[in-house]
Amino acid sequence: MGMAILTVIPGGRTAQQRFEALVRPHYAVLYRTAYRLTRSVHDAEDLVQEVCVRAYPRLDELAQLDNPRAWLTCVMQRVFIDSTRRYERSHVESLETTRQESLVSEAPGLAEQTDEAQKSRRLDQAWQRLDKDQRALLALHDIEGYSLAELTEMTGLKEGTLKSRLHRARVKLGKLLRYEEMAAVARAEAGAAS
Amino acid sequence: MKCERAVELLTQSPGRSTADGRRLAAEHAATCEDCRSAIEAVHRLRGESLARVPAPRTGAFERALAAATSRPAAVTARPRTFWAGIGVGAALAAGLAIAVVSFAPWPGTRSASSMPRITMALNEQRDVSISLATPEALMDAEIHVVLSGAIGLSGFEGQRELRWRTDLDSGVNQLTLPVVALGTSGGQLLVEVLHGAKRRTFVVDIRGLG
Repeated sequence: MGMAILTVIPGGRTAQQRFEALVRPHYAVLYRTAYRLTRSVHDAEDLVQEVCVRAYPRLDELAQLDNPRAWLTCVMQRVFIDSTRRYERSHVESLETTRQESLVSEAPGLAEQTDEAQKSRRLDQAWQRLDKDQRALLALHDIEGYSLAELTEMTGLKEGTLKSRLHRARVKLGKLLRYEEMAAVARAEAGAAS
Repeated sequence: MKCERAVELLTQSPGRSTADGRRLAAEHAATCEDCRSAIEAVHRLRGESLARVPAPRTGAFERALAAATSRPAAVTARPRTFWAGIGVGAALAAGLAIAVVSFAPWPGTRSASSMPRITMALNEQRDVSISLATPEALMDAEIHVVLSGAIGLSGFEGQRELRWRTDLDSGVNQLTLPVVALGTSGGQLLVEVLHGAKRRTFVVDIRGLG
């Protein structure tokens, strides 16, 4: 190890107050993005909380930024992708496995009462079967509207790489959605027959 | 036509592409199942962007804030260039207190004469940041914090010792501790970083005011 440095942060506003002033204006957007990633209120809150925990020790760095929201979103994306247990409600499965399991009949729940609810549920199920980096890319680009140039800055990946990954993620999601719709039809038919 | 391009042409607003381009893309998509899947996914996700997101529960931000500020954060990595720019540069520009301390090679503790010292009033809270530069990453390093005298850590009332393990990246790693002056007699904050047989110790002398 080389030189060690010790800093005393001066008085005035406490670090907590400075952090709150910097982050609170972005909380709503961060939470919304976290919800897009996790599709769960609890998981979204937990994810933003973890972002705050990671960001607080880097308060000075955060305070210097022109665009703290992008920085915080970048942290969120990394936390989400790197997490191995939390924010992960299902494992990635092959499409064939997914198809077989999805065709198993399940009693429809209350959430299936309307067409919109059914669509939302199918998207939930397909979404959870994507890899987490695919979810992050789709949520940030196709839902939240970040451009490929912004995502290049966030991820450090080349734009061509991002384009390829984005396409693969879209194709996979589209196929998963189709399988979920087939499974829903199979469930409806099984319910009508019984 | 490449699939990525066909999907782009068929999902962006018509004003951003030519009619010929869209026709060629549609011809491609008609024979390409992957493109049709991708286009369906884009449409569903764009619909999602208009969908209402359930509100977070009351007090969610406050809970996040409390979690972030009430425990010593994991030691986090900072690039060396950042430290030089923000730490030293900003401190000099603002005339802030900053102590630069050179430590003896592993293992060792710096001499008492070079001990960083700060003065705090009763009940004052101040963030003390300790930075450790390491040329290589230290996996599963142990962080050991010991308090002596009339000081405490905000969020860890009554605890005089904390110990946890973390990974340190190469470069400069910073640990920020919210020190509180519990009395006017001062105290000492000791932070040890242990990795294998190596140890680095930081001691901060806290002087009471009043």
